Amino acid sequence: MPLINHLKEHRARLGVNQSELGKMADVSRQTISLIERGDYSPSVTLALKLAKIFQVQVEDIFVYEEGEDDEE
Amino acid sequence: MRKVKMMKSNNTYKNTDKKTNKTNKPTKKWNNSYTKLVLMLCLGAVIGAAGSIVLSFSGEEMASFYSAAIHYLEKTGVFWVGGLVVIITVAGIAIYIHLKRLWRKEEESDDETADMWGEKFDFWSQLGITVANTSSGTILILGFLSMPSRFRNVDLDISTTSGMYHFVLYIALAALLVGGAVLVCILEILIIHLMQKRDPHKQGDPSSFSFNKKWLESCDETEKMVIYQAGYKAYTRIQVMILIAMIATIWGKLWFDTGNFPIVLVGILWIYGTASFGIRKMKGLKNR
Repeated sequence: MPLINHLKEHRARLGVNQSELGKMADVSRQTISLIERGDYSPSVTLALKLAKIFQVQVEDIFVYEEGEDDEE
Repeated sequence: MRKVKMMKSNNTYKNTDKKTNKTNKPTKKWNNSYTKLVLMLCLGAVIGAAGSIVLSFSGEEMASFYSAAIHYLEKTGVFWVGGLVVIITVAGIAIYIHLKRLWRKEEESDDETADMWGEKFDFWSQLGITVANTSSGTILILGFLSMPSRFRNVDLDISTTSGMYHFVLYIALAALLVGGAVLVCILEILIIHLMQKRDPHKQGDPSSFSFNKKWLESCDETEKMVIYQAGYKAYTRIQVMILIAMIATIWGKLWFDTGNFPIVLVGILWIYGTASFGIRKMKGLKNR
């Protein structure tokens, strides 16, 4: 998956667990866990919510990196 | 006019092979599909022919085995159903207690271990609901298979020993059927209420007809995605099972005189499932 996320680092910086972050973002703990593992890409709405919670830009949490083939 | 720079994308639909610079011809895929279809038809014909040859030699034995199995189930079914109800009761209580323990551990733990307990709670709650759902179906199937095909052929005269035995047997079976069905419903309601206490966002009354709709509406994006994926996988697998059931009912009619009713029933389920999925998909595309 080309989407790299730093959600876990930001969550640790805020000092909350997955359940608490889920409640703050109005999603389940499962959603936070799937995003952190890279098994799920959040919707735009959720990404913006998370950025607002952490008081950072969305690009500080989620980074899109294209594969080497596309750079040619 | 401002020129817009086109971004390079990881286009998986490109049909040019970079190594050879040749365009992949899509016609090859169409030929492969038709070839596979012909091969599957031939394979089906071979399997059907082999099955017919086997049944022509052993059909009588299979029919008598089937009758003997049904007769055995009619005599002992109440004990099988009773045992199943006991197992489900014990398992249900154990799962519920385990879930409460997992939730308590999740609340008392720190970050990393809380995540682990939360994952276990999600797994065990879904397991409990799955056990409840499959158990109710199993109890009903086993229970109704244990009923005699015609009650007027059974001695139910309570003045005789045999009649009293049959009377008590079938009353007990009916009680276990109803009791078992109620038990699994209670188990499912308890688990759902526990999930809702843990996550108050989850809505819906489990005893209501609109429960599935309200529950789905209250799920977040990943929970909906998991449900949709599970639903689609279940649909595709049920399509295969219905095909197998259709073959089995046709064989049953030819070899065991099971009649047309099973074929009609399976056919109706097949058509309903396929049409329902197709119509729902068309509605979904229309609403975009």
